[in-house]
Amino acid sequence: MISVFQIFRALMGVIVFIFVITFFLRISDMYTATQIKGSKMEMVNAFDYVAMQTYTSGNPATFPGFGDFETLVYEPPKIKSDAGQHTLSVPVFFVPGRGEISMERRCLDFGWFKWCMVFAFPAKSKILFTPIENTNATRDLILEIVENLPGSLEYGFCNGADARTANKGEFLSYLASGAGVTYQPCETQLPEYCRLVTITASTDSSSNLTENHIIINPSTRLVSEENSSGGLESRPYHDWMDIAVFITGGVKALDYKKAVFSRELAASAGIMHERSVLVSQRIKECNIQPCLECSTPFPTPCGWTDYSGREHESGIYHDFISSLVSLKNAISSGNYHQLLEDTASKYNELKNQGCE
Amino acid sequence: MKSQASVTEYLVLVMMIVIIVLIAMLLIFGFQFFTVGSEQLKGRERMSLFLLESFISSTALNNLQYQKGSVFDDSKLTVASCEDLETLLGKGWFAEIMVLLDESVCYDQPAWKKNKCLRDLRKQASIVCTKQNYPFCNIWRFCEQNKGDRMIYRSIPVNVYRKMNNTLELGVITVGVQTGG
Repeated sequence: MISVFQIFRALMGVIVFIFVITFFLRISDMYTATQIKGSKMEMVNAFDYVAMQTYTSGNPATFPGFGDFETLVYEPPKIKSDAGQHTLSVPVFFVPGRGEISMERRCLDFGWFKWCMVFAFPAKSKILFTPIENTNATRDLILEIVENLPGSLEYGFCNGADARTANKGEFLSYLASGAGVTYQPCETQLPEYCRLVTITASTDSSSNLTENHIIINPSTRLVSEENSSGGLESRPYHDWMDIAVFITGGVKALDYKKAVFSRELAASAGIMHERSVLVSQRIKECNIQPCLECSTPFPTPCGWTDYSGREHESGIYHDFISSLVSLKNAISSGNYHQLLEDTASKYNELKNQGCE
Repeated sequence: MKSQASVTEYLVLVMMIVIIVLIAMLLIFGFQFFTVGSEQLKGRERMSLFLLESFISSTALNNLQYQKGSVFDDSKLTVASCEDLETLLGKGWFAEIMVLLDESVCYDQPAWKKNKCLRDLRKQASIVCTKQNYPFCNIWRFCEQNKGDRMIYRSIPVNVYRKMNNTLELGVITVGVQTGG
């Protein structure tokens, strides 16, 4: 005969068993999810670290890849994935993809100001060009873009249904030979990790825009891509880096590049301006009283006063300072590229005169 | 009476199982928190290294005669503000660069110059640089740290170019990154 206690014990045993099993299953489930998320975040952190190393050292690097990610979107400077989002520490222009990611640093150098960023492409990426008007200027533009893009990519031409790619060296030597081919709009199906760049002065070229397809218009100096509503979204470009950045990430990437570039340019121009004022003042004091602190007197054109006490208002520090002031004032308006070139040539003059 | 004791005994057993389960859970999650904490610390350490490398390679602070970087320009260090450098390098750090003054360089000089050399050297010892006292100073500080901030510090020797007397001097850069604790 089963007693009431035995029934109670059996029931309690079943309840406790179910409770413990459910509890452990849930815990292990949560633990696994947290571990997977943690390891994915660690992978994103590692990517950021490799990008930092490439950015500071200038040495190209390879990242093993984001194989286990279900979603990976790059909205500069944030990487959004199923593990959460992470803001990258340095300017990176990244095409998300599986497999190895090659990273290379590229810089714009204006003498007194140097701005660097990192390109990150899946190792098997391709860039196809369709120069509709195949002029020397177009070929020079392609040459400039390709010379500055990473060496790990494949480059080629797309002419109608015919698309061929080669490694960077082969492509550049083919381009230098200047073969005069007339190109038709590209009609081929683009493979994975492929960008198509159509170069044309025609304004009605947007009709056959597809995903991963951008248009460069050298006559208006505009780069365009298809926006979410199927229209054309364009931005002005100023140099090869603007085009290269647009190729990697379109409008969002270019807007981000311009924002970071202007912010860092403003800070650097501020430092350089104050520094040039300080140095020119000290040079003036030095040249009046050479034994003050300068072991080597500065050349006369650097400062505003020479040994005989004659003022040199047109001293080249003065010219450089004036161009920096103009640049600083123009940065917020976004229309500063010519002034930046101007400061670069003034700085070069300072160097040639032995003042820097 | 006997069955009441058995029920109590049984309940105690169940309670012990539940407690063991809870302890196991606490251990697992405790380990998880520990791992997250150590990852954060690793991230901060990487950041301090990155900051150091960024400082050394920054064209905004380097003397541009030296193509490879790694040589600070004393005049740029003097005018750079914390806000400027936060724009270039991010927030949550402090840095100090100190030029080491070596009096032995004066001993090699002729007697009439030696005293002036020593006087000049001592004049700039342990003085924080400003636009007013430049170049008679040897310390540059950026972004003062708050008392109680927990920081990770790194120091390495660096070169500092003294613009006004066209010499290269030895210094030490120390950077600290907040650990957030």
